[in-house]
Amino acid sequence: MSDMNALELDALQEIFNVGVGRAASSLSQLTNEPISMSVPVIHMLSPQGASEFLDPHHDRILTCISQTFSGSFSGNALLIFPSVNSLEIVRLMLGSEMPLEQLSEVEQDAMCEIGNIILNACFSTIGGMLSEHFCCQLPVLKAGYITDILNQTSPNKQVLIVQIQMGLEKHNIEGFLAFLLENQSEECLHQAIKQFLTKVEA
Amino acid sequence: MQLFEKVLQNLHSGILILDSNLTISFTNHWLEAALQDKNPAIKGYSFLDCFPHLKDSRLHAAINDSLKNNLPSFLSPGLNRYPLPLYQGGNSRKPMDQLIRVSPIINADQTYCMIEVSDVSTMVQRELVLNAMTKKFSGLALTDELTNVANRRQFNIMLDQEIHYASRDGKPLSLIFLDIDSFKPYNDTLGHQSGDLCLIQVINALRKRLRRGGDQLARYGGDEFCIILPNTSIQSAVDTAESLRILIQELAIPHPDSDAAECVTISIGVACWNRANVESSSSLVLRADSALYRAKQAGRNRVVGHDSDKWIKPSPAQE
Repeated sequence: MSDMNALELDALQEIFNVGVGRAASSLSQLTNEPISMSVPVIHMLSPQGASEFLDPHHDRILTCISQTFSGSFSGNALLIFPSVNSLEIVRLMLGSEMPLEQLSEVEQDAMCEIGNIILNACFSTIGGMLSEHFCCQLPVLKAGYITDILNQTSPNKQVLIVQIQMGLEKHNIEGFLAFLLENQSEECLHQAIKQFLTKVEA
Repeated sequence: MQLFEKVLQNLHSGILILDSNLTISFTNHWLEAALQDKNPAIKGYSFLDCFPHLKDSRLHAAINDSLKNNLPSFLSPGLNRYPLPLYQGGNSRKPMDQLIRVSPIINADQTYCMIEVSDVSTMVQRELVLNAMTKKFSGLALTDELTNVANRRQFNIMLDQEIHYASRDGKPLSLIFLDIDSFKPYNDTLGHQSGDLCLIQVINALRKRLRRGGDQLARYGGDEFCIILPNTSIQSAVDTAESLRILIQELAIPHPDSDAAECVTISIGVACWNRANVESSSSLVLRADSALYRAKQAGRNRVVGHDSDKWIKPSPAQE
């Protein structure tokens, strides 16, 4: 894909900033706890680069909530947390003290919902700000190594990584959004951002 | 079309379909049965009129997301306690734990919202039981059966944690080791049951005195106990130890065969964590234990502290 320039990347970052901000307020409302999200940081990486960025030693178990989407852009959107972080998030949100080292069934469902809220907020912001339409599937939760999670990507595609920090009861928990775009979708996204910037300038 | 409607009616999960004005356009038998006291004829009415408490709820937001943004949502039982007023089977008035999926459906240019409800009460209940059991067992694994204080395993965990806090917060940390003087002769003369009772009496007295939050008492083994004193310097820990020694002596539990006194007494060793050396927990334990050994060598029923290669006695005012 033709590389985005700094201005275009800034615009994309701003769109995600609005998206995760909305997600934070939905999550706060749901849990009655103040939840904050810091300004996300965006990276465009090759699948190889993305997996090294997400887990340099390829030895951590990660929790991933994914939703596939199709329409103006098609692909798979993933929310990825190291599993220890996902345990922390869920237990802080549910206020539970499970002594288990793995997510229980109720906790897995809760994690799935948290991912769904964050991903939906990003989808609706992208859709709204770029005036694009797509439909997407219900979230699916899985756990595994980064290679299992990113395996569907063809090696010459780029992966859009959005680094987020979630603030919850004095804890700062890091997670990542990864967008794996199909075929022409990267180009479509680039075009949509160009149009968005032209509109903003006008 | 009729066949599909019959299929939906026969599903063992709930289906509720709304049109873009939030008017209920379909409910299946399962959902109507689970609603119990609601008039099952809610079809044709506004969703928010039927369930006014759901206005601005997570479910309401999910419905809007599906109708306006074409996005599906997933509502988990952990984060959404009983979203719809549904009850478990029969005439039971037990509220139903629900897992809800909200999806947009587009038909003939109209957007509808499908709410799919599963009863997950059994799963939620099973997890509550498992959770309670796991908590109970992990509590048992970390508690001393006789005295109900932390056992050695928990002591090791607590000490590592406190060393971590002390080094992070730049605060002093002291450790007390104590044991009962001539406890073997006590057991041999009066029997093990009396020995157990004596341990319980001593521990209860110590526990009452250690009301200050953060001080943690544990049984190290046999008649040896330890106390972790966060945010406490060596002299103040030695003085606390001295007050505990006096406290036990004043219990005046008769001891027929002690070299130290006619009643049950304790010897105490104290050490303060060495920040400069980033001392390990095992080295701190070793120093507290050797201070205890020194207190015994010096005649029992006394307190000895160790810090920076020096032996430390209680402040004169305490003696």
